[in-house]
Amino acid sequence: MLKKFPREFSALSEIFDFTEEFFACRGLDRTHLQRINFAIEELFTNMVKYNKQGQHPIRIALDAKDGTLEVRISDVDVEPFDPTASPEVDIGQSVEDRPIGKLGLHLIRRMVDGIEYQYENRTSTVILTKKLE
Amino acid sequence: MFNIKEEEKGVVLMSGRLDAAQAERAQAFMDQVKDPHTVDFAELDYISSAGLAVLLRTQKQLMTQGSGLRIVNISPQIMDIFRYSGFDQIFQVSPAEA
Repeated sequence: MLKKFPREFSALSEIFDFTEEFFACRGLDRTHLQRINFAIEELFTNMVKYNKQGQHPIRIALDAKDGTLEVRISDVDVEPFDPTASPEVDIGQSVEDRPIGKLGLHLIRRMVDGIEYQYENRTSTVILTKKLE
Repeated sequence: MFNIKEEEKGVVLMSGRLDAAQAERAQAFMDQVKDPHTVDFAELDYISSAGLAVLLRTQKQLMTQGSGLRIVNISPQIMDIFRYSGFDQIFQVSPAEA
């Protein structure tokens, strides 16, 4: 299932409807839905925030086979931006020292089983995989 | 859908989904609550890192005044997010009763 979404935060509710519909169509275990939505939100909002020159809608493709869910989030005609290169966050810091933000990728790594970045033909694609068993 | 209201003095009830599209509204609401001390997550289904940032920013402000937030009725899934991000050490937390 593939759908394009406008590059604005207000598209998030439409994205959550899309993942929910996919889970329902495929009869997938909904306990994974929140983690998948979390990971997609972080990556989608990163693209909206950091691929400033992007003019096109962001594409999200969902597929499930052999007990694994695959999510591909693609942004066409942009400069490379590899979210997987972001450093780990020190979660032991005091409240005063904790930076606001920066947690997204740290959390995604705990929500999914795989995260991969590809850049080809000026298209950034992040591929998430999640075992559904 | 996200809703936020002051249930009683200093107690804020959040419900629905606190995502990046709602974070600004949530922050504006938290900023105008006088002496907030508790956030009730009983009806909160989802929080993203943008929502966590609202809580952390509020906590930083409160700590400069010598107070802090307690977050109550946290669902197991949101509790996982709190643990992964170390927020269970930054806030006083109590999980939802099973």
